[in-house]
Amino acid sequence: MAPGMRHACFITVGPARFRIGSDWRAPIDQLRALYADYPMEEVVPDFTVRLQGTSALRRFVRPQVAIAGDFTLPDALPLPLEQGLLAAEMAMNLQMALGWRRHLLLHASAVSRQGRAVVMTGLSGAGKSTLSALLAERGWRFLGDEFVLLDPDSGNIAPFPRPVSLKNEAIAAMEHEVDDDTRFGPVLRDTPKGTIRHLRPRTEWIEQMARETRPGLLLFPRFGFPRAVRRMDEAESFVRLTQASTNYVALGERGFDALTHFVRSVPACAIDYATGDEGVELVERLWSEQGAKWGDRAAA
Amino acid sequence: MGGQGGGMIDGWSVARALTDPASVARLDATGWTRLLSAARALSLIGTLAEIMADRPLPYPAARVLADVRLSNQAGLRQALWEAQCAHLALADYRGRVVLLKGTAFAAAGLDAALGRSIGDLDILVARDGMDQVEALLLAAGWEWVKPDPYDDAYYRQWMHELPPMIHGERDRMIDVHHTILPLTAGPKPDAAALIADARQLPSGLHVLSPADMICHAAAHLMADGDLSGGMRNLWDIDRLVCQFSAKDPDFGDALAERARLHQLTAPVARALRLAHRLFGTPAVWPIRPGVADALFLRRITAVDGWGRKTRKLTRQGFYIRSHLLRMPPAMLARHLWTKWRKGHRG
Amino acid sequence: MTVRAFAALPGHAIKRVRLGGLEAIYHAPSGITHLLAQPVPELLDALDEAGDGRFVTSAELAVRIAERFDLVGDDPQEAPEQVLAERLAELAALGLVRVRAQA
Repeated sequence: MAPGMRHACFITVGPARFRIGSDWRAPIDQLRALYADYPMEEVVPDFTVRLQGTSALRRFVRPQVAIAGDFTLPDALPLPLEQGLLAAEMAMNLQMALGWRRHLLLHASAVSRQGRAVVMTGLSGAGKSTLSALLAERGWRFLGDEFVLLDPDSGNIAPFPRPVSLKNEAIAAMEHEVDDDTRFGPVLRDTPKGTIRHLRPRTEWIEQMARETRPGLLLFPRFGFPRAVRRMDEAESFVRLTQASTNYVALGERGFDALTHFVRSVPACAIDYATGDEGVELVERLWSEQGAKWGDRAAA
Repeated sequence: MGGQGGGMIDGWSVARALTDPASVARLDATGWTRLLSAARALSLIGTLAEIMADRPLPYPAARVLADVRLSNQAGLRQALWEAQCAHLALADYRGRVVLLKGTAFAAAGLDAALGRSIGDLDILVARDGMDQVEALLLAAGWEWVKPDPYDDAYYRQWMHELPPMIHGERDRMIDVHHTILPLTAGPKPDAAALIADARQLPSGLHVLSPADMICHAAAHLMADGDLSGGMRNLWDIDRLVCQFSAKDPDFGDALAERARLHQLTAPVARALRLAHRLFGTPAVWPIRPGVADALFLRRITAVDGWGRKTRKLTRQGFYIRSHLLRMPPAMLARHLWTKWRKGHRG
Repeated sequence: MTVRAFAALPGHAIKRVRLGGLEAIYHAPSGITHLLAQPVPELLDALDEAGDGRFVTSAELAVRIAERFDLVGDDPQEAPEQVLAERLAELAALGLVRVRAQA
């Protein structure tokens, strides 16, 4: 009888609980350090992730980490052991993307202020992740940089504040922004996505991760373009969000209800910005304009 | 390891939970964690979720299983719709369209459908109708998955089905069979009899007769040489036998007759024995111990509490067996050679 | 040529939400969402108004719709009921309306 996996840990992020097992110690040690502020007690997990050797010999000779677990992709390539932390992160994302059913899952980042969330979505590399990280260092509550969890019953957003996965140029930008060096993970070079470094959210946002927030604004940011703002209509937002959701189809009618309600209840804009500062300023301006309307409605 | 004793193979704990749902009351958190992972690895988590639906469970386990039930609903809806789409596409085909496996259980409302994961749509049609069925499906938006002349020739020559097709818009696969075992396998089931004896559903689609359903499931278990889906397959057989034998006290005799006709007496006997050992399936045939049963059972239940398929040596042995079963040796060599060459040409 | 008749789906099989100028339609039996523009919502409304599950031909439907809309196809030579029949056949293929051959 196999005794189990050699090394293991449990991590809870927002409503999701993970069990991660590994043939090697290093990835688990790195996870424990990166997730130092998150609940780590042993619970019945929602998902199991396995980091395992591609063969018995490969465990020792130039080891490769194969990603396995409850949900896997047939063509997921193994990563070198030095990138074991990235393998764990990718595997956890994959479990959420393929297995989560309690919320409508949007591939998006989100921050909030005064109980109203700004949801930012767009293609990979459009800057939504970095923009959320920047806002979170400038007084906004961080709700997540990868997935936004929309509750089909309440219409609220459940925070999923994983460590931000910073890529390439964004690493230096955030190192400049954050003065607490202990919040950064190791630098992972030559990954399939370039250089990657994780940034742990501020402790207060992790402590508040069980508190849901109402959505207030939907943005489609694009980094590296001349400043522009365009209103987006409900139908276009709807189509784009169905494409940005990994479980819209699986949720059936609940997904349809949640998403139609969402796009009808929050205003949406596509925003282009040339620098991070410009992005932050645009989000704050749009949020204030919209905030005035929420105020009017509340007063009325 | 909590809950269960240290020597417990997790496949058996899944069997226990399915047949004696009350037994989960003594599981602690670790026991639940192991059970859920093992059930998922054995493709039985959907069934487990439905069986536990009305039981008071610890909250963390209950919420995992509630998610699984939502996935079950979506899978069932999709499978039934896909069958209806194929039915519509084949409206001009005069022969019978017989649904197989999971879709058939669901369409016929059988207990075996409860929580069962349903993959591709599998249908059985008469061999001389294959060309028309193929043409009608292509006209209705299905397309070939792999436009590879070698694979294509291989399928058409040796397999019991058309090369797999996928619907361009709905992204769902269909397998069109003209019999239930590869032509290279030993037994030669009577495909014409399978179709002639099929039962019509209100929709106009057909499913196999009760006895033929068992024969097919047993043939499937035999053809799945590495037994990766063995436990799920045996659970299908358990559910079908329970349901059919409760309705018809002479079901064992009917099954014996059909198994003989399809040259599947030995595989059906083994499937009934294994299901009886694992799930306590009613013995519709006298149960005599079989030589390799212990080996089969060890392989079938070989999963650990992390969802890893264990006992690598037994698995390897079964994998080679899988290929031998599907193809006579000379053909196997030819197949591997062609694959190898293709691999090296990139 | 067989004349085909069409009917609305039962209410629980379909869910419609207006999104700006378009309509998002959830089709429960397939779990598929359609995003459709004019004149589809109007066609579905007209079928609904024909009564609970009642089958009507495209010619009958053309009369009802003509009370409120001008029906013109891409080809102005085409008869309105012909245009309607084509749209309805497309909707039937998606499962969004029921269809049968009229006796």
